[in-house]
Amino acid sequence: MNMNNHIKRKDLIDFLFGTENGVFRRKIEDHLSGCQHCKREFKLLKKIFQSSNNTNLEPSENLYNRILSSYNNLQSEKRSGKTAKKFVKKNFKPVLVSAFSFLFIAAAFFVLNKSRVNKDLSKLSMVINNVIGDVSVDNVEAGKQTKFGESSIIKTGDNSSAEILFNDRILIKVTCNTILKIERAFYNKEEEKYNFSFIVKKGVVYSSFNNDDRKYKYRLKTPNSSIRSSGSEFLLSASGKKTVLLVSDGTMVIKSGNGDEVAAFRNQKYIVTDKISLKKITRKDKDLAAWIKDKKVISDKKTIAEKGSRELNVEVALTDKCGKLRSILEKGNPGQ
Amino acid sequence: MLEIEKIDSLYKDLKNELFVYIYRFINSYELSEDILHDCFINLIKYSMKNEVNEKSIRAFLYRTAHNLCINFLKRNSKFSFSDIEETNISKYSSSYDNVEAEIEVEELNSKIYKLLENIDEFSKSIFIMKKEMNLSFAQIAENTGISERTVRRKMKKLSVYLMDELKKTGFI
Repeated sequence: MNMNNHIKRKDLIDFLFGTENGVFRRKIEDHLSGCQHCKREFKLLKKIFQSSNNTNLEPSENLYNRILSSYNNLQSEKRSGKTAKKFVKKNFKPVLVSAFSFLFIAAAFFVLNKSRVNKDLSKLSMVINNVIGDVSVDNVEAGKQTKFGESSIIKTGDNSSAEILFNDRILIKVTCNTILKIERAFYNKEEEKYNFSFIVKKGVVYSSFNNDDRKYKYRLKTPNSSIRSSGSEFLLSASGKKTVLLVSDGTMVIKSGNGDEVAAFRNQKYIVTDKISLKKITRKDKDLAAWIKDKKVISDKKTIAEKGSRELNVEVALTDKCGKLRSILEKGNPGQ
Repeated sequence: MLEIEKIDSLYKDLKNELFVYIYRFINSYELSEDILHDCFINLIKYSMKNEVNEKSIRAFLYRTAHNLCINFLKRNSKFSFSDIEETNISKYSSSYDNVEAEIEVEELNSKIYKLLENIDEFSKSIFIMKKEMNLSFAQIAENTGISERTVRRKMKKLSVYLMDELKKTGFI
């Protein structure tokens, strides 16, 4: 320290924190008593390290309760871990035998009572109502009035479509290049309700579920989504990691693979990829849905479309292979 | 595992100073509570697997708080100390003689913590322990796990920096 000038800052700091020896401290004290500049500096230094005086700053009482709660949880985990380990160690063989016995009995019970629990397939009528082109059920060529059941897989070829009818009430139209599996279809005696579950593995389907009497429960699945409804009208397209749902009427609940859930209402279009997005309905979407709703046929091959128009006497929407609209063939009068 | 009575005693003794320390880092009441909660839970979990030296519990808690604060700031890329506007903190303490002095102190502290945004977390940590908790260098060294000599050195460097900056802005 140069006593002729001012105290060096680091010396002031040492002095503040009480680190200097006694002789040096006295010299600094003497200098401070006579030097206004160093006095001001020292005062600032003291202020810098003066506590903010947060006397009121303390955690809430609730925090301690949280800590107690966590403590109890940890203690329980520790006890159950120890108990489980001891128990298993001591009783491993008996536990294993008991577990297998239980599983065996449960499986036997399930198998024996499966049909008695809630299923009644006799009340169900599942039939192919209409066919255009190459349609198969479980890899067997299908035609009008072909019947099918639970676990059946319906496939349509390049230029083909099919109409499926359940109990004369539920209509599913399967367009070209579509694979639809009837995952579950039964009548629950206890609930007195029909249960359906469909898997659209790929392709486009249109459906109209009339559920005015609330006797039907439906679920649709695609490779990346799950959709449930209790009565609605919609167009569903599934391809790989993308599902498109266009709701014409009613309400549906979409759940993505991530677990996100969205309610889709009338005149809404949702696209499900790794997330669920609401999209604008285009004119083509509306036209497509309307044509299907009005029992119009869709095909991407002109000759098939013309045939459909003649035989079914309906308008046919001629699309490309991607489902995009090309033209409309008037009913009974194709090509004009 | 530490007994609940011990946790209770530790909490009562250390909650305020730890909370102030954390708060000065995070500047959010709720988050500071969360971090303080995690500090004690970490201690409890540690005691479930290891023998805990009573003398080192305080240092353990400070070190945990320090690390959790640093991690939080890194995750949130925030190193700013904004002005304190917590409703449950009294801005003016009863130890000041007049309002003007109180305001001056408040302004100074605000400026100081803004300047601290530009320095490393360790120095910040040491500063808070010294300023807010008035811990000795030996205690700070124990809490942070660095040598007392390093603590003094960092403190000196930080003090010079603060004084220079405050002088530039007219606080002296």
